[in-house]
Amino acid sequence: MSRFILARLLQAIVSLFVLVTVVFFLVRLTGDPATRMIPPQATEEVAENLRRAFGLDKPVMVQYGIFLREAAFSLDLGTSQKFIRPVTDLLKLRIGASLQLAVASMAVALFIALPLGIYSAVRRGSRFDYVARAFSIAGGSLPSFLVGLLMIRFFAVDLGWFPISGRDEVLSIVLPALTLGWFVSASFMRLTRSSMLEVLDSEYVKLARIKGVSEVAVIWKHALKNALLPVVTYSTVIFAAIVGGAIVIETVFAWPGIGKLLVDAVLQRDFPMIQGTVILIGAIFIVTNLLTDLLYAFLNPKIRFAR
Amino acid sequence: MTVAETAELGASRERAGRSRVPWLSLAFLILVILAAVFASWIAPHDPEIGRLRDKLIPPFWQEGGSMDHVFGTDALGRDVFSRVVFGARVSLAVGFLSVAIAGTVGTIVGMIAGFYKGWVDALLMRITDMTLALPLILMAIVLVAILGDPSFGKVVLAIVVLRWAFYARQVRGETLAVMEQPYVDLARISGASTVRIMFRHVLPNVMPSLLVLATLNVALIILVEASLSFLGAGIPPPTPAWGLMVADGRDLIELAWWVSIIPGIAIFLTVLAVNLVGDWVRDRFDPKLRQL
Repeated sequence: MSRFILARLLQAIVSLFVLVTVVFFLVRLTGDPATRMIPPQATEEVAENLRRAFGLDKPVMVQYGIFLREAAFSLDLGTSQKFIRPVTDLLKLRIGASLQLAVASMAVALFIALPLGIYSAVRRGSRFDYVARAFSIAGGSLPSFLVGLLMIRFFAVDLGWFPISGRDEVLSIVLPALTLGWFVSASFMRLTRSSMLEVLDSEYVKLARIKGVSEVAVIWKHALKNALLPVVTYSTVIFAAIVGGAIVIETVFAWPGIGKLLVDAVLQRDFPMIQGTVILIGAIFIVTNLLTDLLYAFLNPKIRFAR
Repeated sequence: MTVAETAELGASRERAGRSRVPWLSLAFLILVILAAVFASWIAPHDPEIGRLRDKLIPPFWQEGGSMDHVFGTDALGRDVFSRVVFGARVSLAVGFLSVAIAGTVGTIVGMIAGFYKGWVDALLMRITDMTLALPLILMAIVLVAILGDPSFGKVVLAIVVLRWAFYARQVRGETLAVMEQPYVDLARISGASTVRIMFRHVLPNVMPSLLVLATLNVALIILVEASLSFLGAGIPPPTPAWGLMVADGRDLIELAWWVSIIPGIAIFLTVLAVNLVGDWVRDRFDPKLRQL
């Protein structure tokens, strides 16, 4: 077990390092940022000063070394060329809003997907199952921004129940969380359903039924626990859906999170900001992956007791 | 009736229901393809030029609308119907082209990994896993931004870079299985070259599941392209891309819903049709992928 943890930990660190390196050099491919930041009529001297201020006058490998050192030891990810402020500060300001939205929409997704997935597996082939699967396919085909706009139109404009956008009121989170949660729940439901179907077909569920265990106990005690195990391993897929969805949905609702920050940085070609955001999201992603694997190993005795 | 019997009955009913050809989706998809191909004949107006005097005319079924602009006009007086018709070009072209290229690259990589095994396989699969671990939309925006001013080619390139690995993993697994077959040994004994074995023996076996994956993937890619355009990181204006049209109408949602909602529905119906056709293709040609 400890060996497994160590191996996974090492793998995560390597992944993070590769990510940082790839992002760093990709961003450097885009040319000289100094020419983007100053007006075309500025003198070469101005550009030179700017390059020096951002450390761009040094050779790329030296820049890379400095970047790695600062990132690893003082969590410094450079300076935003747009805001002229440390990238880390800007990320800190925004991360709270993003986490809040992620947690709220995850709750929405669980609330929709788990009951639908479980019940449609138990009642496989029924009308309920048919409707639930139609919901899942339709949900997976709806662009999240369309759902967001429809939500704004009906619940904010026509009914006036919730704010149109921003994050100034308590109720502001409702529409973005519903939109993102619904977006995530489609794939989540499909996973729960197919996992549950597999378990319901297994020998031990059959045995429990032969023993005369009540249907409720079979589903809740025997099947569900095991069905949720593979769902846990897919949390990376779900996380990717939340990140991708959040980028779009934060933009639709002007929700001041990391996703909105990234889109703005992309539109303004603020490369240190893009670099910092991608590294942060990548790091969260890698850590989620790691935790999922450890959790899975812990939950699954086959791995827990191996060696 | 016991639960097991009910489940059994349900399963057979499900199988029967699922193997039907989704005629409606197929018809709709063909319609969209025809619209994309013959856009210049079908569209009644120029999709990129409008008259400001005609701005924000509602669709024909609303008061003030007319049959001249069936889906109304946008803030620049451009005909929404014509733009939707031309928008089909962008969505389908990006969808099919990037899936075709990513599928080809992935197939070649996957076959090489499965054929040579050993360190080649290990290396290629590490790269594959890392690529697959990246959140698609996030990396697509970043890649398009890094490649410079967005364009059709760059959007396709970004999607290919992020998507080939998906096919590589599948093809590699199936190649490994095919390589175990006695006829591959026989082919090798009779002196067939590596390339010949790959294309004559491995590829035909990989083809069915590749086709299924590709079909379902077109739906995802159309959504990704629409999201990119919506965020302003996709194909640049004034080209009518559906995602871009939704973004254009975003601030008009109170005043003129049709500017954004109609292209949004076009995306939804097209993706839904591709998904349903893809589901059918899967059940028909490769039921073992059903869990995906």
